[in-house]
Amino acid sequence: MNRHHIFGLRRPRLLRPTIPLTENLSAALLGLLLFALVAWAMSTGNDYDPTERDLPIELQISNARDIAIYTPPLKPWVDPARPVIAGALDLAPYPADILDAEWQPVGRVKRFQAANLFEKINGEAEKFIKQGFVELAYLLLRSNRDDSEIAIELFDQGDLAGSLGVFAEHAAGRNVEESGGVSFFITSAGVIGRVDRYFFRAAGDRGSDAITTKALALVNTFSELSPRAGGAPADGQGTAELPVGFALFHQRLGIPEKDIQFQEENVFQYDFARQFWFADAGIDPEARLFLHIAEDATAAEALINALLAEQRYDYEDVASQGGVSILRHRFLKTYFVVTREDQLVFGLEGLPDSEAAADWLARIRKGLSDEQT
Amino acid sequence: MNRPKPNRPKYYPHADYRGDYLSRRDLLKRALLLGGASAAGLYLAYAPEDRPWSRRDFSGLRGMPEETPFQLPDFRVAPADPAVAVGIGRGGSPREMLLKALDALGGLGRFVQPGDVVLIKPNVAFDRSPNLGATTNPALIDTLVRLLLVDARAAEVRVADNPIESPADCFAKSGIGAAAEQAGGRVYLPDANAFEPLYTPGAKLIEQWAFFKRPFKDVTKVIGVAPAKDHNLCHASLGIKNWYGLLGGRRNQFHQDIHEIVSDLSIMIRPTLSIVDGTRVLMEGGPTGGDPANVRDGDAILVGLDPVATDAWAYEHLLLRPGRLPDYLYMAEQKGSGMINYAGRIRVVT
Amino acid sequence: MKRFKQRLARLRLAQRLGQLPGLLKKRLPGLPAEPLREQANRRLRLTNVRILSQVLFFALFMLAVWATWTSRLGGYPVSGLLELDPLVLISTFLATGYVYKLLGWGLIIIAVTFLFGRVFCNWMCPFGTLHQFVGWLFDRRPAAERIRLNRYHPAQYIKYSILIVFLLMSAMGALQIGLLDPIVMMYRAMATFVSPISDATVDGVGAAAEGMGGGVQWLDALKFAPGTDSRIFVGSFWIGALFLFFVLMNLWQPRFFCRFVCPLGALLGTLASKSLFRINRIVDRCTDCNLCLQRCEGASDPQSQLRQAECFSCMNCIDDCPENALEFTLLRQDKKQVLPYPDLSRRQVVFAGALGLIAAPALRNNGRVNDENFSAAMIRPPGSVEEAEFLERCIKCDQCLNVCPTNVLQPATLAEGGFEALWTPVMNFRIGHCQLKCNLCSEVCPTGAIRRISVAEKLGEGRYAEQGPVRLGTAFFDLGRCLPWANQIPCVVCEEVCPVAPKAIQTYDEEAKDVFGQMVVLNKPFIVPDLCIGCGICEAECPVQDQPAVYVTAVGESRSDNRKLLLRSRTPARPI
Repeated sequence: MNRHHIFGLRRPRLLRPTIPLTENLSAALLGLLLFALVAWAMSTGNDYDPTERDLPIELQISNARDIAIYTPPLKPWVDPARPVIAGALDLAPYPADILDAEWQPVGRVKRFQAANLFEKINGEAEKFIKQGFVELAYLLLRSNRDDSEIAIELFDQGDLAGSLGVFAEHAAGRNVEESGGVSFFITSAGVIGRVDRYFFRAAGDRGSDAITTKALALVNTFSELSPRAGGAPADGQGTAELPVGFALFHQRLGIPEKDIQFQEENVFQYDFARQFWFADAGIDPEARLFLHIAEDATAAEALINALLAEQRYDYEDVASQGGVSILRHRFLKTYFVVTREDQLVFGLEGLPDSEAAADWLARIRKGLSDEQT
Repeated sequence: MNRPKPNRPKYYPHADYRGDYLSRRDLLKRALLLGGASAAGLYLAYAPEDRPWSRRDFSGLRGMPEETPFQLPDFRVAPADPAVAVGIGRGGSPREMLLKALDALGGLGRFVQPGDVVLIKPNVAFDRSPNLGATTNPALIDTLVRLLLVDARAAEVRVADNPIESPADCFAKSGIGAAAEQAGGRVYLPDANAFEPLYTPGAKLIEQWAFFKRPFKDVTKVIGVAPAKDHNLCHASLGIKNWYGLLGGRRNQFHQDIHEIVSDLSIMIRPTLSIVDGTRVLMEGGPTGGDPANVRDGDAILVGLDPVATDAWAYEHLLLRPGRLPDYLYMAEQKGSGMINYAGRIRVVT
Repeated sequence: MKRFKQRLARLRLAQRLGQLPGLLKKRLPGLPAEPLREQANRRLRLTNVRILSQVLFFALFMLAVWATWTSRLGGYPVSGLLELDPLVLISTFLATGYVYKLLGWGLIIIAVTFLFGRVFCNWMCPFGTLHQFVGWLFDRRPAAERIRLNRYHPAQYIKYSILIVFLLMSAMGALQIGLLDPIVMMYRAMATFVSPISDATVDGVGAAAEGMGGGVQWLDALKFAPGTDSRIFVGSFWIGALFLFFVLMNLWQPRFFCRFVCPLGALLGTLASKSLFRINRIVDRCTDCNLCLQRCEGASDPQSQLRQAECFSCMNCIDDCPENALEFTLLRQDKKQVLPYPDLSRRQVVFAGALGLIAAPALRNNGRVNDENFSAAMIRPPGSVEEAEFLERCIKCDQCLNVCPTNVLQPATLAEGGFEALWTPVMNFRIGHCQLKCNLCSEVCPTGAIRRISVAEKLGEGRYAEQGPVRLGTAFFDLGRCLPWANQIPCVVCEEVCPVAPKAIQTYDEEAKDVFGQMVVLNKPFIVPDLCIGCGICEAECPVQDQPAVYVTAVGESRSDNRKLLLRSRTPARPI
């Protein structure tokens, strides 16, 4: 053995003297079997079909389910140093300039519907819901001057009637002013008012100057909601579709909005008298025009009869001519005039004397006929 | 005892015969050998770095692997009518639409001469079946390869892409591998040795980057065939983005500045033709797709000489997106790859 | 000295020239040649057929390994040798109680062994062929030394002990025969050790050829995994080391593995004890020259009482006997000249039995194979059965690693599953990902550790819609490393490459002014675990590549009820 040899190749020497025939035959047979095996193995080969290892198209299509994915919208950049600009916060329905450099929102605008209104204003909720309440928007502002806070509630009462009605309940006996379509009165720590179909209340946490200034500023802000100023009219209510009573008093008779009220129910303290429009006639602080639109003439007839019947407990008949009934209060000596035309019941109450009544009634009749023409 | 007396120097009293002692000649030979080896070693190790054959590396930087980037030639061919930059074929099978679009530009023979070696770059990025719209329509590849080999008499047609997933699987499942080979083309799959650094002058992000070089050897014409897809990050994956598939290395970094890289791609390669395949447009959920409900038939095939205009038209008419085009088109226009305003430069054949 | 060498050379030349007439007699026409009949008689010997058989089975084995690739798989019986392996059949049957798919082929070899003895070891086994070839190639020993080394060695009992230990462990639910089974070891070493080295060599040749301007398409046929980046297998060094250790031990002891270690050999030896055919020594003709031991492969002592359990039926002794005293026969067997059963003492059996009984619980007690302390990295291929059942079936043949087109399957290290799961397949999503519509690993698994699933089952479509897709795990974000979340740098590669529809990665989109005053649109990704199938492409493509910002862990894998993450899916269209 040479230590430098890498391989140990040596020729094998066949020492065996004889090889029997059976061995030759079996060797040949085995050789053939081996080649057959190899041939078979090779023949099983490449029937590779890539779609075999893919999802059949029918399954792809039939299972193209819509798993709905919610993608939140792009969150815009809000510079932490500068005050919040209107566009960054969803302020609807408040006008954008309710915020300014001094007054910044605390939290976001909270909105309440009829179902959860009680969560916010508890017992009061019924009052608003009866008057056609749609939605309350609530926003809390804080002053960065003296940390005072003002809470602003904006009620969408659905239509003018609702807004007028609600405001009338709040404004009873108050000195109502008007500015830019907004009827309002200032309270000790805020302002209460209405514009178009909205009713708003703003209340500060203290009676400070800042709050008073802001309250007045709010009036200006809310005037933007007035239709005249470009505020969006209520659904389905264009300027042509103002309620009849309001249109009569405001447009035909020229009575300012702040002097018009609406009462939903319990008019004159009677449960059968509902949905009366009132207007301040300007004759007397206590005197008011009133108007009711009944469903039809029969209902109007029934109403006026019932009204007269009840009023006669406190009032006494003075005159009754041409469908116009004039009554005088037994004690207060104020006059109550009422008449009926078709399905309309209208008149005046609280008059100091009955001279102006005829005049006003004529004017109302004229206004109604104008409308009809 | 007839041996000659050895010329024995007096230093070797024990020597019997000539071979036993170190003769002068031996000594000289040995000294020369040692001296030469030492001198060579000293030279290699200490000669200043700029001398020839110097192996000195003082700073340690000489030993770093050197990359010698190559540059791609400009594959563009001047069109018959310079006013027409994009030919659009509508109505019919993919083959018919492709022929219409090519006719609008003057025919394929204008761009591919007999004997050309043509490389087709389809989008084979995912192992999606063709109906899902994430890859190029294999029928279009089949048509194009046959047109090139038979009508234009190209010498060789190669089909290559560097997919994100397993190359063999992507080519198989998308049907493009089989389509290319049955039509007579040759598919090039990427492996570790197929990439070399490419030098793109003027590119911001990929001035030098690993590029799928192997299929480009001896190529004279390059045609990109891209599907029209929505893309979450850059809003659309059309003709220009298709060239992303030739990049190697860690190309996933580029998503940090996706519009810059796509506009760089428009100057990295100047193809002969940019084809956008509008037969299956992936409207949503791109670029991977996976829901056949998101695929619509755009009924159009665009062949463009101006990749920017091609993409602009495809964005508006295939993906049906109004408004501002993706940023990369404006950046590509600024880099001089084309013009977005395609008014008057397209020819639609229905 | 020089003159001496010259004289020697002259002598050798004369010798060769003297042989020339004899050589010429065989080659040149016209001169009387050896008659064809005699040539045929000499050449058609069982030893020659045996060599042919070894070569062909080795070639078939190499074909199987070569064809285990995505573009070649077709219909070839690539797991054929594993399915023929009776030890795989018996141990999986003991472990699971059932015979999976084609494992019944093992009965063919058992039948052949009952007929002809341990022919498998020297006619079919590719590992045996490799040992024999290496031993023969580098063996420079003189005949006397070879005779000495080929005598039966008492240590040859060890393989029976190993077999007993393994079979007892299998019966107790820990299938470890794959560590030492020869076919399995060949497959595993070829897949993880030899094929990457071979491919790297071919790549090197290809690179050199390309550099010189040559074409390289034809080289793809020589590669085991063409058309993709060079593959790596973590821990393949030890797989190769074990493999090479056994192969190189042949230089010290011929057929070291086959005689001393191989459990399959031990099984076949036990079954061969009563085989019909065997080597028979005709005592009357035998002169006790011991020349039959020169090339005896099995060290079965043909020169005295044949140890039937050790004999490989290599037929070498028949060729070496000058007296024709040995034959391979059914009839005329001399019962006095055979020791049929393995030489195993009762003590050895008992010790092996004891070791086998404690080994399985000892390994399980090590604490990695349970539902409390399982490794987060123990992510199994799609179609795998639950872990305890997996370890009853996986023979660590690593065919799944060989066929995987993205190189994501790796041999498990001790960290992932302890010793029990060593070298079983796990996914390493830094290297690759599980391709959505690929089920190749489940196709090649011979024992059902990875149950055969269709693509529809993997994706939970068609009639599998109620059980939902196969989930390998769930992806999670490391928000401290994710570029949009932590650094205000736009990126969203993970969302882009997520293959399911709708995507399991959704984003919160946000405009932000980053630290350098640039306005950027950040898409901040988050995982929807109801949709995530754990394919890992997000981890593979995440640019924070050393410790990816999105990574998949094993929790939520659908194969195990005890490793669920979510109680239910929030979208009924994609159930969990």
